[in-house]
Amino acid sequence: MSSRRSSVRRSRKEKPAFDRFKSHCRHFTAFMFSNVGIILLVTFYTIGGAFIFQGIEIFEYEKLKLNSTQNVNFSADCLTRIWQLTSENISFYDHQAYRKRVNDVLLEYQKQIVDKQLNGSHVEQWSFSGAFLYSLTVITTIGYGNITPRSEWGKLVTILYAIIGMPLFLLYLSNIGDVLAKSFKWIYSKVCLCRICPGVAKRRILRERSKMRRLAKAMYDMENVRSSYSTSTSSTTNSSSDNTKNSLQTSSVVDMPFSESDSDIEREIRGNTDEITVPVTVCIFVMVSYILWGALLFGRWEEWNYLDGSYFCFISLSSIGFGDLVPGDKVITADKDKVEVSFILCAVYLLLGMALIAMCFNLMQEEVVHNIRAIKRGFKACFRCYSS
Amino acid sequence: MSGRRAQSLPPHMLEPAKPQRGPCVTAICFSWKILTCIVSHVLLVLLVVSYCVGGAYLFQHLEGPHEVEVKQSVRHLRFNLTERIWLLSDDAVVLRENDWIANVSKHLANFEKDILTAIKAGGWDGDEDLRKSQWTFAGSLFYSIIVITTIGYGHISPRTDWGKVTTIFYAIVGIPLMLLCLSNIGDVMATSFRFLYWRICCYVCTRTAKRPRNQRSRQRSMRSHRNSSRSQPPPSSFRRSIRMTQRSGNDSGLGPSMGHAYSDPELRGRYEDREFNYRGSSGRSRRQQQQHYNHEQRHRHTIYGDEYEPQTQTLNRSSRYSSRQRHRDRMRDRHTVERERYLGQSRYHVDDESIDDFSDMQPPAKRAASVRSVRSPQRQDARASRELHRLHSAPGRGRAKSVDPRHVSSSHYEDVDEDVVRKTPIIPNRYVLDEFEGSRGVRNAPRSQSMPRSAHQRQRQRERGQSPQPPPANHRHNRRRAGSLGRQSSRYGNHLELPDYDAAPQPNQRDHRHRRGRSPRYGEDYVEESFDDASVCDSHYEDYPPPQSSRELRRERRRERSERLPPSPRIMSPMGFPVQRQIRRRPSYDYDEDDSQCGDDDYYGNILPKDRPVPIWLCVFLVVSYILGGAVLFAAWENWSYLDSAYFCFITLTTIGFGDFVPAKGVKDESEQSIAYCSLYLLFGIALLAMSFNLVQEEFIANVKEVARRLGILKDDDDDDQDED
Repeated sequence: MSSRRSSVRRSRKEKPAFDRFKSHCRHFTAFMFSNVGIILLVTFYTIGGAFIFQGIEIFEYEKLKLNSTQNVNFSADCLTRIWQLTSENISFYDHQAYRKRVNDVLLEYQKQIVDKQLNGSHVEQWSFSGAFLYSLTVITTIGYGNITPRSEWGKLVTILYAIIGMPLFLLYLSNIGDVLAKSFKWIYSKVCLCRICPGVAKRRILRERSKMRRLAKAMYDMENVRSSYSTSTSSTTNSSSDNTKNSLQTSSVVDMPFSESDSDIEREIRGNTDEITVPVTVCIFVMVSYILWGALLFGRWEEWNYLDGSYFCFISLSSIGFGDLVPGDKVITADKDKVEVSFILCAVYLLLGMALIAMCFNLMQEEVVHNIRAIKRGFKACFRCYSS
Repeated sequence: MSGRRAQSLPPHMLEPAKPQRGPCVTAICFSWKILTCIVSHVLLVLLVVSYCVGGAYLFQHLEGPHEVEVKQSVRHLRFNLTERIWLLSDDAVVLRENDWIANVSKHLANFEKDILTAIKAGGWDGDEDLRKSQWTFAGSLFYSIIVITTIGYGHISPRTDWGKVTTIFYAIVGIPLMLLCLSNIGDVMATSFRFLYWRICCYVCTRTAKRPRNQRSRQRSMRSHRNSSRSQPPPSSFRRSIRMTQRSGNDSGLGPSMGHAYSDPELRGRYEDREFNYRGSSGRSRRQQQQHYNHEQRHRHTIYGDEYEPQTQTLNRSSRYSSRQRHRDRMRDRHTVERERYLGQSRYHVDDESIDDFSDMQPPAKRAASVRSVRSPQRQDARASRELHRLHSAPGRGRAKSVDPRHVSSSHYEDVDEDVVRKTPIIPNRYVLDEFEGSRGVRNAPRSQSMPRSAHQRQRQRERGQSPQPPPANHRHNRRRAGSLGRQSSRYGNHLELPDYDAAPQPNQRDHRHRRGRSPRYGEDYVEESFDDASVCDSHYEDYPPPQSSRELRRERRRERSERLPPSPRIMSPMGFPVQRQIRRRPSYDYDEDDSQCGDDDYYGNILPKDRPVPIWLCVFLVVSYILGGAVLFAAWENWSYLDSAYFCFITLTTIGFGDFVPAKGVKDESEQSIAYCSLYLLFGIALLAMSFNLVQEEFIANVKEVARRLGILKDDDDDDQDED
């Protein structure tokens, strides 16, 4: 986006001298908004966002740390207090009172822990991969919320970043979803409908045609009966118009060329893959398998069980993003390398998965619309039958 | 469907359109429409609300006990630790500090780990009070809303296995439901907002109808141009330029070139003549046309005789003209998707208006005829003969006839394949313009003052055209002519026509080149002309189509149209706004934009407020002020800083939903209240966003497309601007 704008400005300013440069700019922007470029664009945008947020938040954290350094060691503090209690009370050893006081101290400690956990700023989360995941969750509107900006500048920049980033990501989704849908359709047509093997396809088409012809014939017969009936009896506008319409419809159906010549079938076999609608079940199968695959993957990385894994995948891909399960959350302190890999894996999984789900929804919508229309037509035919 | 339909036809559109009906019937119709509209919307909202409430009960029962368990377990943990420390201290004979501290610190570390586990895995919020639960009814309701709007704060999330599974399925059903509801609400809000904006906010300018209208439209176009980078077109085309900004694809390239050209009849005439020559180039086989001609000729002779020949000449010209435009459109239209969209629009238009004006049926006929020529010859044969046959056999000849062309067109849509449909002429506005010209002439009259001559002409014709209903045959005749003339002038006046005789700017030249490539053949011209004649004659008898049948037809054609147009293969994302747009997209193409594109200033004598575009800045301003207002409110309610509240509102409305700021997180006492506030705020806010997307998207897309076109990256901008608002 910004690159395009800038190129506009530049090309306007120095038109005669930089014609070649201008055309280069055009090509570059065109490429950037094409299928390959958009992936790069999103990736670089995310990486840039990661650096920005990392810088801002680490700066903020440093400032915070200067302000308050004392609350580092809760447990030692708590320990000394309990020890003091114990050493004070060692003389009289009142069971109840001692217990109550220790409990109070522990409660305070517990509150500190909770506070630190829930509201504290975790600078270790603003590693590069963490910031990357953060930018990704912003522009995908997942918003896990495990890492959130604490500084004011971080919040402002987040808003601006989202305003630019979300359309970009949607652009990415539409582009990639389109490409995926096309290729998926192609694959489906070649593999599942056996269009590769001409014999099978031919038989299939013949079967379909015969079915259609039977249907058309039945309809036509019905229509004939009805039209004779209605022309003899009725002069109301309704039935006459109905009649003409119906007869026309059916006749058009009957008119459909049912030539079973090889060339015709050949053409249909070779025909446009755009006209194929992929069944809903296939789409759902693709989505479910992707989620399960993700569950398997993350289950292995993060030691979640399958339910948790698929729950995480679903919540992420549907962009709900609770953030109760987050990749790299459990191992964040233990193993740095593993966290990095997990983050990257998660990012790739998300980017791919959202495009895939976009594709599936795309295909499903087509199919559903198609079906609904068929049902509607069926209903209408029924009503016409009854009304006449 | 019916609700949207009703909503798309507000009273001011319905009322003048059905002059034949009595006021009583109109009122009943109207109230029925309102009723269905209300019922459908209210039903949808009720469905969503009940879904949320049901989800709230469900999650409360699934997750409530678990939360209590976690709280109890934390308390037990602490008591255990206390007990252990006591034991440790009690058992020790000698209390040595080092040993004791080592032991206790081990226990403390365990305790800390357990608490962290309780927080992370158990979803414990740090509160031990058993009476205060996160999963109260209000909390669960909030959770349901958060899930189905895909915000997902995550401040409460399901911790049990069953809760997780239920959440998944709940979301699968709920998210599309919510999107549907939101898009519906967004539509309604957009309509009413447009209405408000144009009827009330601009009341002053719309009120003083006659003179200042031009002014106002100028002002408007300025406003709409402020956002686009296009240069200002010359004065007489201001209105056009508005439409131009809206019409995203085809015409936007011709910005400055289409100046005053059509205000001058002479030039127009020249243009037509020239057009006459170019006529044969639309790339149809001669044989086809000849056949066509034959059929139509027979048709005409048998039924009507030649009596209408002279009047239809004008129509011929105009239709020729239009098919030329079609041609140009075809040339320019490199995006099939866009073309499809246009096609949908234009077809829809015929539908949409036909419900209003039953007396003006000719455009579909014309369309049918023009479309017919694309069909294969045998089929034409068959159909034409069938038509003839029916014509003779049908009881009410005129009536049956009136239905006919639509039939042809509809059945045509059934069996032509996609390519043909794509090649069929795409002229979004024409029919609507024509129809409105015919029936609403008087209302339009004052508007046409910017183009004096044609306006004068039109007005005269209109006066003739306003013959009482039902007019006798010669009146009809007159009226037809008036309609045709008016149509013609209207086409010139209101369309983004490209003057060919001009020193042609770029796209023009392209057209020329193309046309020059094919040699104009006069014979074909003739054929085409008479063919047009025939079709016009067809339309002559269609003055009184039976309303019911036409409505049925409309429905049917709509169905077929939608069949022909597969949903555009670009969905953005499965959830969230893009899909909202996607869902809304079709209806908005079908119901809103068309009208806004076609029936702009010049046509609806009184404005149709719902069709007017609302400036982008207003929508942006609305959303921003909503966020800022929310910031102020939440700052007051939750004691956040203004930045934090604004941040919260933004994160919420974009459905990112980090969950670092959640209402009723700190203030536990009146959690119900603040949860209710927040729910209302976010629901209304998302609906508002949907509304402003709905309002803005067309204009915005046009602007972005224009920018992209300038840059020469037209190939991609289609996807581009789909998403960018």
